[in-house]
Parts: sequence; C-alpha cells; structure tokens
Amino acid sequence: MKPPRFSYAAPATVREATDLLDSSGGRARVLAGGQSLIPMLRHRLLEPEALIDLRRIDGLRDICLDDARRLRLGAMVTHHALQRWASDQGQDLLVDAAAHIGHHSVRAIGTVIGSLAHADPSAEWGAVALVLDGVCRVAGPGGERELGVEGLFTGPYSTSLAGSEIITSLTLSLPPSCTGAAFSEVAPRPGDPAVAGAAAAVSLDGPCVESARVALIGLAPTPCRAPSVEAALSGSEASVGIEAAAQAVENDIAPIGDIHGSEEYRRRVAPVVVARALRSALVRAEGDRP
Amino acid sequence: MTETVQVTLLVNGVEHALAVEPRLILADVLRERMELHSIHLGCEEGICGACTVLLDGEPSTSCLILAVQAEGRSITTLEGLDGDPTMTGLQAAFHENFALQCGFCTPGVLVNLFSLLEDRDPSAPPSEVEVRTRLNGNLCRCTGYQSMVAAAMQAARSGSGHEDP
Repeated sequence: MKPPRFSYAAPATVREATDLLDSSGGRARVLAGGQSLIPMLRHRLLEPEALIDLRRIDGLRDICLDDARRLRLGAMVTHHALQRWASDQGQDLLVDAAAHIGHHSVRAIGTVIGSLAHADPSAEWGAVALVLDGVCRVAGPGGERELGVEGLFTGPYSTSLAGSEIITSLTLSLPPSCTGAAFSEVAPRPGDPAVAGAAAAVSLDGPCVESARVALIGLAPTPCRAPSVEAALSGSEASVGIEAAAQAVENDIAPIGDIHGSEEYRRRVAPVVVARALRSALVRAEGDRP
Repeated sequence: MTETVQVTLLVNGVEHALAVEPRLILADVLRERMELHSIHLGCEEGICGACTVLLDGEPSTSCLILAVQAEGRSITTLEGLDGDPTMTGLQAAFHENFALQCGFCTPGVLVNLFSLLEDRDPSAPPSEVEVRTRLNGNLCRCTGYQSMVAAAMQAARSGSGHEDP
C-alpha cells in the first residue's frame, strides 16, 4: 500500500525537532533512515500526523572515538557507516553484527539508533549495545538526559522514550585489552530477522575468565542480558567452561513461538548461539593478549 | 486537502524541481512522473530489490525512501548508467550467460551488481560469495541465480565484461 497522508518537517536543530514533536502531542514520529518506519507506514500499522526528519540536523552523522575508547554515534549514522568504521578499526563484534542486518541496500540507509528506537526484540544492535554498556543521549522539550540501553527497551517495539523525545547519540564502551567480543545468530536466510542471536565479550585473566558479558536477541520480549551465563563463566577456566555456561541461558530467556521458529526451537538454539559467540570471543581474547 | 512540499531531486545528473506530497515514495516519482521505467515495483517493502537505484553511489531500494528524503542527494537509475563501460560490460555478460528470463528483476540486479563491480580492479575481482551475498538484495523467480552469478564473475574478471571466444 501507499503510506497514509502525513505532514512533514525537516528542522535544522534538535531543539526545533523536539518542539515539533512536543506540539504534536505524541502524534508525530521521528524519521531517520526509515527502513523500519516506511514499511510500517506502507502496511498502515502507523498513521502519524507528521514525520519529523532528522536529515538536516548538523553533526548527527558523526562517529567519534575518545581516549577512553568510548565510541559515540550520532542518530543518522547508518549501519553501513558503522560497519565500514568497525571494519577499518578491527572492531570484530560490530563487524559481525552489522553483516546480519538486512541486506546491503537496507544497511546503506537504515540507522543504528533508528533500529534501537524501533525496539525490535530480534534487532542485532540491541544485544551489541547491551554488551558494550550503551548509553543513549536523549533530547526532549525539557532538555537532555542520559538513558542506559538497559532502561530503553520496555517490550516488543516499545521503549521508555516519551513521544517528544529523540535519541540524538549512542555511546558504546569498546572492549578493553585482553577482551574478545563476537556476535552469532541463526536466521532462516542471510539478512532475515534473527530467530535467536547472542553478543558476547569475554575478558581473560591468564587461562581464566575475569568477566563476561552476554546479551541475547529473539529470545525474550526485548533484547536482554544473560546473567546466568555471565555468572557461570566468571572465574571459570575459559576453555572448559563455555558449553556448561551456555546451557545456563535457559534461565535467562522467555521465548515465544512464531512463524520463524517455535518456542521449543528457540530454547534449543539459544545455547547454540551463546556457545558460538563465546567461543569466537574467547579466540579473539586469546589473540588480544599483550 | 493535500499538503505538498517543494523538493529538488538530482536524478541521473539532472535537477528536477517538483511539488510532492510528503508521503510520495521515491520509486513512484521516478517511474510515474519521470517515466524512468527501469524502476520496477515488486514487493514495495524493501525485499525484492526490483526498484534498486544508487543513492549517493550506494544501492538503495527506492520503494523505502520518501521523495522528500532524497533531496540534496544524487539518485542514479539504470537509465543513468547507460553507456557506462562497467555497465555495458555487465549487460554483455548477462546477454552471453542468459542471465535473465522474464526480466522483471533485471534492472535492480544490474544496478546492485554495478555498484559491486565499479572501480574494481579486474585482477582482484569479487569472490562468488561476495556476488551471492550482494544478490541477497534481489529476488529472481526465474533464473535460479546461477547464470547471474556466472555473468557477474565474468564481467568482474574481464573488466569490460566481454570475453573473446
């Protein structure tokens, strides 16, 4: 179908954008790349009064890395732009995850932060942002605030953002030394939505795991951490602990069955994707030793 | 009442000033208003790739872009690549390899593969995996892809796309 009628504005500043959202009383939507929003409009799942396009706002395409290895992405950074940056910088987790997002054309226009704000429970960046301690900078009519990604997702396609708020940037803490990170997922075909996926970062202290962070997609109403897996790994000898730790994921998930996979299938595939991500992260952590 | 906005679109190197409804999709502007009939609309939800254009040089499905979003960006359709040596070579390789049947998906496939082959050194052609991965963005219900992959590999190896017998 063709999208429903709406009015359109492409303001030059974040302030104007939040004012427009505020004055619409929650009946306007933010447009970044539109790769989730436009299909929803075409299916008439949404009938917003207005779209507020962020494309004219300066600085939202920036990718900046500071001295503390914090990576800041603006709201208009595309999957593709981050994929290229990560590939140049050898950031394996980001490279792994980006390759699973849609196909080339979607990655060229769709944005990382747009995907987070869309809050699809099976979207790759959700797990990545949870593993890398993502923090969103959120602008609203009352000013700016910071919101940890853990506090962003409230349910499938739902976030804690108010209707007049915009995520203007996302800060990720890139893995420190002696840490390996990786992403793995299972999907019917390349580029399809993930049935289940896992992001993992493993820090080593000698042969043992000093700390591990694991996050999941497609296995709960929102992307989520896997605290049971993390606890099972911490302090264990890395090479022997992975399979058992991956099995602990059953305590961390609440999968549903749908056309892409039954609940039972998701329960069986969850430890598989966790183990794959952990094994790959471990190899990278071992390669990262000074 | 229909609200329209004024946009200037740069299509195949030519600027077009248009009044459009904000909800108007780029693919519809290109096909209906500009009569660029290489733009084929299949799924209209970003899956089939028949409407693929280059947006600032990157392949993009024009069915998932509002015309207003494309303002200030360079849009290239298959018509705009007519006579380009890489495209001519790719088209010749498609011809030799019987890489199309009904032809509906072909313009999108050509534009997508063009962006993979453009500026590529023939001595370092893309791998078959790269070609197949790129074709994830195009649905073809006739060819089974094998002949398209063969054509793309031939075009990549020869640079001009045409191999003398």
